[in-house]
Amino acid sequence: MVNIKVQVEGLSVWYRDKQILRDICILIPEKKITAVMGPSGCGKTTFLKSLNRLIEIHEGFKVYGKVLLDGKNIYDPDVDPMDIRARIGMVFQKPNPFPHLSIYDNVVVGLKLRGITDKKYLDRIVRETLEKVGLWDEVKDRLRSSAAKLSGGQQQRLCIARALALNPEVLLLDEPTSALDPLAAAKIENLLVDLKKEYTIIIVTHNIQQAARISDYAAFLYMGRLIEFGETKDIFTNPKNELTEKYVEGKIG
Amino acid sequence: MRPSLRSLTDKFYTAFAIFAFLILIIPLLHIILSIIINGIKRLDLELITSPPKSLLGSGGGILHAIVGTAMVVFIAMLISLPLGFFVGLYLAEFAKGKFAHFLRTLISVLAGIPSIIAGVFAYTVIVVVYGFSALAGGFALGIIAIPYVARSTEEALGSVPMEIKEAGFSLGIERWKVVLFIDVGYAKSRIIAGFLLALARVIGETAPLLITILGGINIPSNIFSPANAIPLVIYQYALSPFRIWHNIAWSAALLLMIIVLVINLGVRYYLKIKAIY
Amino acid sequence: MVSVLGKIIRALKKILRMDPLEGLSLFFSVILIVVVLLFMGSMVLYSLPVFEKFGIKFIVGTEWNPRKDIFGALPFVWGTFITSTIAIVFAVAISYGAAYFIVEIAPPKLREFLSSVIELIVAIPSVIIGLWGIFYVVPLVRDFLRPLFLPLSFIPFLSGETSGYSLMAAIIVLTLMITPISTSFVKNALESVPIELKEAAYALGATRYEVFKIVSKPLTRRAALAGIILAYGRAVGETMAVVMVVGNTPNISLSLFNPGYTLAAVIANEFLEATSVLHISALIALGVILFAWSLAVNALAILIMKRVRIS
Repeated sequence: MVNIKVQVEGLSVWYRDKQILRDICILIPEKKITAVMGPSGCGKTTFLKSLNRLIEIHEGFKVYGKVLLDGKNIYDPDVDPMDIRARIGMVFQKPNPFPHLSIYDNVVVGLKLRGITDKKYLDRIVRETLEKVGLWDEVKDRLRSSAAKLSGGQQQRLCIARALALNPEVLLLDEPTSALDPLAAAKIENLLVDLKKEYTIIIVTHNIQQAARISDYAAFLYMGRLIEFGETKDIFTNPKNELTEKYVEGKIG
Repeated sequence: MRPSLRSLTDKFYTAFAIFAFLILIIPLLHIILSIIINGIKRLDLELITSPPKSLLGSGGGILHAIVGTAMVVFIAMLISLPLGFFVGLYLAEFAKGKFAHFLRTLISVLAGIPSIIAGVFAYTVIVVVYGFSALAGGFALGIIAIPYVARSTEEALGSVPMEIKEAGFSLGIERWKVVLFIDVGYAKSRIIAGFLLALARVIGETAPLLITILGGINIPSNIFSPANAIPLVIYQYALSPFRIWHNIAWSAALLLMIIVLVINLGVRYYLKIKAIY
Repeated sequence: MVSVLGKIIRALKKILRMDPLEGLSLFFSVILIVVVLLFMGSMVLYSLPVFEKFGIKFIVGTEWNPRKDIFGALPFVWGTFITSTIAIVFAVAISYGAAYFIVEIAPPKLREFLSSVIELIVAIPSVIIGLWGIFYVVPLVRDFLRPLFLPLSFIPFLSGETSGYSLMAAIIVLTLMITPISTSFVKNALESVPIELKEAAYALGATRYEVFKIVSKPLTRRAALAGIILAYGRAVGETMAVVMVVGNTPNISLSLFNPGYTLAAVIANEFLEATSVLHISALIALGVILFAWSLAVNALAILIMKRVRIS
């Protein structure tokens, strides 16, 4: 029996007068990779941003329902969204390292914000996380140079390192390989499979093959509804819903 | 402890931002309100239809200044529109490399020159020849308006999509016809908007007029005679010791503000409608 | 010789083959260049007599007495410097706060409205601000600020009596005039920060202010600085609003409650009454100083603007 890390209960999200997500219920297992699939515009990104309350920085969104992290609703009034976002790391579709900061500072910026200034500790974290994402050997001689000079794939791994530096419990990834070439994408996929030993990973993707390759569990979202959720092998070999079947066969957008 | 300190810092800066915004906006609201309240009393038909009455008589208007402003601004537009338009057109369509860069820098320099300096220039080339005159004031304002016209024209023409230009060229017509009839035609509303904003910019200019048009009480008979202008009247009457004249200054200020704001708002509205197509 | 002639002939041929509209617009551009050269040339020419007579003493001289034909520009340089510098310091603080409010705090529906209000305020003629200054700022300085700062009058900047017409009044009026300009630049810069980078910072658990501190502010530093420098240039050259409230007295005083004078203000004030050649020359020479000053400021802004990185 697996542990449940994140439990979503009746999550509905509105953008102005349009409903983006409809009553989503899902149980995300700990230290597994859960893929959220669906055609573009189905609400995948909104779903992901609801899981760390990043949705709240955008105007016009309203969130109903519960998202329980280790059993505690992150939308409770006594919860500080800043803490939640530090516990739940996020990686975005387009690599977005801070272009004005060095590679080193990109990794430690989250820690520095939390008041950690011990240089030895920061040095260690930089080395550990960059090793974890397989970037250390490539950049160890130029930690002080700008992150903007890295290649797209390197930038994306740096963004993963930036998220990992805060030692999060959950890692959210929003189509992290869609802006990368196949080789760089493969590296990230291998990295994610490594990382699931330590982190609960939720990855949004519209790449069906990617979901099949790396995920343990898969969810299929369609027009704001959760159509099907289960172990990846079941979803792909024995879908219960006709829509899911069509989608995994590539017949829906 | 840390997180609470961080959220406290955040709250502090939020409070500071609100405070700064109020510091910015409250005096400006006060300016607008006080001009309306003080100016509305004498904003009547007499103000805009009659020349000033003898020194201490009540009533009287600023017709002489309205005529002067019209004259001066007309001369300014006569100078700045062709010059600014063609320089902007040259920059947008033809200029290349170092010369283009030089010309743009020159325009930036011209835009940054204090307006009083343009008055000094007009003094050295016009006043010393023709004396204090509407022409000298118009010349100074024209110099001030050139960079505005040039920039807005260049921007307007720069906004013409490549497809439109290509469509023009594919018709097999000469370059100047493409530029003049297709590019300028396409960007027409934005170019005109730029002209109007330049006009609004110079109509309130006072400093260069102070040292070029003399500013008496007569309605100027031609461009070589001394003239007055609405902003100059505001200045002169504001410094006078008489209550009646202060009131006229406030009313003239209200009138000027209405003109400037109407042009600005009108241009915004006009561009918004045009943007639909 | 022949090669020079050849070059000229080739250039002429090029002009003849030029598109007629290109030729026409080039012609106007050359006229503009000539006008600007004439501009600078005539100013320098007219200012020569006073520079010939006083030399460097014209710039560092502290006495300005047209009746005795003694001309020293330092009181005006000082007045311009002190008013514009203090005004820009205030303006920067207010601009960052107000821009942060408009971009990050105010509801988006209000944002566009507030932006247009600020842009419209920039369009208000300065003589109107000056008129308001005479009737509201001058009494404010005399009846409110002077008593308020009385306990601090041991500080040289805040000492002395005041009629209200003072450097302080000029600084207040200038701050009001240039703050909307710099706010507009800072606001546009902050708005240009890509949402992806802000999201990245929020996702690390940053607060709104921390996102500004680690992402928005450093990314927009150059663009904001260029705008602030342009606003400073406006403060240096502003004439009407200052001449109406500054008190127009050529002294070099530390106290902001004392009257002062600026370069632009003295040109505006004395030009019509100047009769001697030297007096006119001295006023135009002040114009040259002011010209050079704003030229330097604008050149700096252009240099910084050029290096603005759009990421």
